[in-house]
Amino acid sequence: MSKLNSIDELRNLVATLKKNDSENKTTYLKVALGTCGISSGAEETFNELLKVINETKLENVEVIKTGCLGYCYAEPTVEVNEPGKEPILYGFVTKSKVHDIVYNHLMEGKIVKELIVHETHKIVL
Amino acid sequence: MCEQIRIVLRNAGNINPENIEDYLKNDGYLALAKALESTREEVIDIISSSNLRGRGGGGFPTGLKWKFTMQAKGDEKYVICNADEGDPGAFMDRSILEGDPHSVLEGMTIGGYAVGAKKGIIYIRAEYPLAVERLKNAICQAKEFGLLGENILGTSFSFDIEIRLGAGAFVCGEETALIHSIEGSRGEPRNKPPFPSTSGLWGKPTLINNVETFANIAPIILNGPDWFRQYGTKNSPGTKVFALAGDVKNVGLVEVPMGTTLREIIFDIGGGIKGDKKFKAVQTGGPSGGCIPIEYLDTPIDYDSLQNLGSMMGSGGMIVMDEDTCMVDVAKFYLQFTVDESCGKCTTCRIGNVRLLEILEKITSGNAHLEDLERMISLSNVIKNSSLCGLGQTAPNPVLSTFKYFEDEYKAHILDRVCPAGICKNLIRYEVIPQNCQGCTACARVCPTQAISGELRKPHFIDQTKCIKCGSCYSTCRFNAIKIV
Amino acid sequence: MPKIYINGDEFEASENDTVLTAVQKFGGYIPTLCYLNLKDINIENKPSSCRVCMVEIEGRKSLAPACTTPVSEGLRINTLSRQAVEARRTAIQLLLSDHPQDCLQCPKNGECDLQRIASELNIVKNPFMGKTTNYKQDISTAIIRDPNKCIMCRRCETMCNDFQTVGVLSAVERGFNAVIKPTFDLPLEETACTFCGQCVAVCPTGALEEDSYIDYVWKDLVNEKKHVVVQTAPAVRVALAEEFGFEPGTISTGKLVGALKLLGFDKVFDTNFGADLTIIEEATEFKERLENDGFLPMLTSCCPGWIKFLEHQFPDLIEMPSSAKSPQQMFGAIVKSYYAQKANLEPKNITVVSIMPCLAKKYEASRKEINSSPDYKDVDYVLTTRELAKMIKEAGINFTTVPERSYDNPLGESTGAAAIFGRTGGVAEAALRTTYEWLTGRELRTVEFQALHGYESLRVAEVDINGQIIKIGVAYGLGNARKLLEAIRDKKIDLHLIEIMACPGGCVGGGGQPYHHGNFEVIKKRIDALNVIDRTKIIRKSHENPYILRLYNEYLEKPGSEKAQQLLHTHYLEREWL
Repeated sequence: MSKLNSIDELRNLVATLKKNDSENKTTYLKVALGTCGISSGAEETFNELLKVINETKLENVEVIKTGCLGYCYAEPTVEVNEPGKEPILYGFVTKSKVHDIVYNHLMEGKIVKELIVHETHKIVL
Repeated sequence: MCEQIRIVLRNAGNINPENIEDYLKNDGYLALAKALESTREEVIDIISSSNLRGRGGGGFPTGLKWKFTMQAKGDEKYVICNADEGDPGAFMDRSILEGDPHSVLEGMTIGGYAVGAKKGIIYIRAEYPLAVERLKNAICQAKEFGLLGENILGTSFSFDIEIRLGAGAFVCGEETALIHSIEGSRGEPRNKPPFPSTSGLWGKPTLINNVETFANIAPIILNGPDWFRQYGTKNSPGTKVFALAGDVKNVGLVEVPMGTTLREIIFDIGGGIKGDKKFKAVQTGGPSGGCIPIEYLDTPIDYDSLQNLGSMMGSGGMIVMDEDTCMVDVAKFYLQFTVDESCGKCTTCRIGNVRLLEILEKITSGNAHLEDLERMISLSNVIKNSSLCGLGQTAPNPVLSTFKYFEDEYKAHILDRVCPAGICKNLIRYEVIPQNCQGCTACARVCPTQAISGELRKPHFIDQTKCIKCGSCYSTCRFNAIKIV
Repeated sequence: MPKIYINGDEFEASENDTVLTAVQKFGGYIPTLCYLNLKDINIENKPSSCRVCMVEIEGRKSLAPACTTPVSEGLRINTLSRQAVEARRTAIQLLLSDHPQDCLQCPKNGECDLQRIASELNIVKNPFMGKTTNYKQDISTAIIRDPNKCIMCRRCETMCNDFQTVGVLSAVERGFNAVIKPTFDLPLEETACTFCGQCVAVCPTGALEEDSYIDYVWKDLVNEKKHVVVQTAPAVRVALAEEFGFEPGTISTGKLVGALKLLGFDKVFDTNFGADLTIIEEATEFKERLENDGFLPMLTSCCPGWIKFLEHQFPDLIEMPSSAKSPQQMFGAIVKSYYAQKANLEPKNITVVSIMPCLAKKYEASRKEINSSPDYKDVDYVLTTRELAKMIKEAGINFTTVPERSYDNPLGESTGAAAIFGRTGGVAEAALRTTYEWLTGRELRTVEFQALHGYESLRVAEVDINGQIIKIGVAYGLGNARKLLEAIRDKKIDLHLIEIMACPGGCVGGGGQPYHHGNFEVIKKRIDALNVIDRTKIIRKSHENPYILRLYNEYLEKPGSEKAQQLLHTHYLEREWL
């Protein structure tokens, strides 16, 4: 990336990024990898997700790391963001639970109810 | 049903903190752009009329602080981000830095522009390696994009940020001690005034705010003060992030508008008390705060209401305690923390708090008299009124507030030589309930001092002279055959 | 000019006033403990750590420390508030609760600020007793540290770091264990401590004290086999009387000698004789360096604290000081050689005691290379002015009525030049009086060089000798010495002679003098008194001291002779800065 040399260049870049994002058809799996998540084993969950998704050869799925979403009691947490759908937050997703989420939710479209974390927040921006 | 409102934690958990583009596509750095198109005075006006108050604990109006620093004379000025989060059980700042480092960098840069500083420093504890790594990465990316460094976005404004690691002294969260620490001196506070806004780092005017305060800046600049003021209360607008911990079901970070009640936070968001036990008290404000009892669960919380209850907002630690908690023991725990973390500079904190702790130890060991309570209160008041910095001045708060709301419990320790919660070892005994005891020998096997004897399948017996009250038998017994008396 | 109210009375304070200075100007009183203000040497210690000077200020939630609270328009101060007084009392009770309860056996008994304030605040019982800290004493040649008596006032730290830039003492540990300790918790002896004793001079309690040799001196005084000779430094005679209630600056030479004789010293001699001798040797060396393109500037070498500072901090410059020993050591060497021969005594049977304003002199006497023989020490015991006062009191001598006596000869006669050794600029002036006459061959009519007088801590003077401008630097305080030495090292300043004294105002402000309790005026008065002694002397140039001339004739041959080199000169060591 080259340096932004003016305020307009920044605004243009932000607009482009937003546009690309809205046209994006990728499903994101967000693994909360803050200190709390990592200490609950979220790194293993993250790696297992990569492995299982690789095995299933699912396309348009990307696993990304984020910071803590605040639901520390339920770590490791994984949020499934499918384009055009409300995100689903799963908690207590240890390595062994990864398989269920990928096969049930991503492949068969069945939500893994017992792992759902009740979200209590909204973002006002 | 109460909901969290997220302003500060807007990106945490949603974006990849290691990718600046993720931040940018959520309107990242657009507030900086807007600020750079405004005058310094306009920026400060926005912050001032938003009524944002410092989220580090004191609640000082942020706009005023910015204004003082802008007006202070000095050839050089500094912006410091206080990321020395040290309250036991508090992790708001860590999560912000780990989940959304750019929001802090952007806030600092706007602050630098407003007060006329070219250099920013983030003072962060070395115990936060992940936050440090993500910050370093974010600083690198921001520089690469021309959002930090010389001539930001092609303007004449230059600003750079560096990271300084704290060595783990809690008192370095106090701003003057923090500045001394950056300067390479012993991390000790000094008397104020002068305040850092006129004489801070290297004697230069210095704007020092904490992580959460800086994370509030960009949304306020972008959406305006009126937008911000619609959340929270009149005197404390906006939201506050709390680290909800202790005996609550949903431990974690919550961000709620000021004015939310404790009941909403603990029961609606927090899911209530673990094991469905009874709520006893909630401790806010870390070791400087106080314990709030059940009667005040419906108080809408902001800076002033918490202070009126004998506690404080602090940086946002919130520790919930259930019915099995001994409030004298809790006061002792927090005081032990301040005693350990006192820098030792001033007499009242260095020696006074140790003496206060000794009185509490006397109470919890069943050796105190009623006069000791009088001594405890008068000493607490001197420490509060005479200590040099915030650490000392607030250290007796846990004692004073628990005494205020749980005086009976103190008196039970003294007059009846009993710890009603069954926590204080000197005042409790473990005994076998013979009717329940199956003689399984499990307790005898875990007892570290061989204090339990008895034949197989016959009721066992605890030798009180050998018992060290570790509670192993109590937690091992599967037949409810051991009681605390 | 802010208008403030002190206990209801209106008072016009100045902009820079603190609550404390304003109340003091107003004529009020607030007890202080950690606060120390030595305006003349720009040292102000106000960490506001003791919390004793607390006052109530209307409209403020907490009490405020008077020492660091600035005044502002309309400020209403209540110094008499019961709450503030109770807070002061609690602070003192807390300090006492972690303080050894052995005041009656403490060397600081009667001089201790903590003790005084406890008495002022009517502390007769202490409800706050509890656990106490327990540190080991650190005993060095000159200074004893007893950290258990430390109240964290930080005065020693300020003197050691800010004034002396020695940097040995600083706060370590935290909370209840916080205490002032030397570098790496080493014994003082193994650090770069110069033993200047300025930490002792300002310590409000018994945490820092001189290492006392009184007992050894008593033993030798009653030992019939020992011939006990005493020498008294110039600065002692203008300070000792303070210990007996006299005004600062009182000259008590006659009483000093009288008291020493009553104590049983066999001979009472004068370090001033040694000072005159030092000038002869030092001026010879200076003339030599000037005429033969020697190493310049030449640094004076009579202050042992300064010499140790140089050895640790500027080891690359150890060729600079004069090799002449200090007056104390020259005197000791002469007693154990020339005087021993004359009096027909074995050197090992002579005990040389010095009365010094200084703690570093204790250490100097123990330096191996400074002693002229491996078999005995040239100076056996060094006592401070304070220790002498203790001996006089212990013996039951009424100092006020002690008959005035004169020094014994041959080592008791001295000139005005020797007297001013005890003040800043004096050694340089004494050296110039002699060098001037030697270089020009003309009589110096006006012996006082006004440029070398004064109280300032760092000054440079120029003197025209035979058309040659001699530039002289004068500094006291090792921080100022550092400035001069760094300027020399960086070749930013060109000087011929530099006089350095470690202590404020020179030896008169030494670490072994009666406590000034933070009042620099006391030191100024001692300086003035030394100038009075100089002016009342008939002979005011060292090279005119008839007994010095006789010493060279009878024993040393000439200045700088082989014998003089052996007895009167020394060398210095490169040391580490720890």
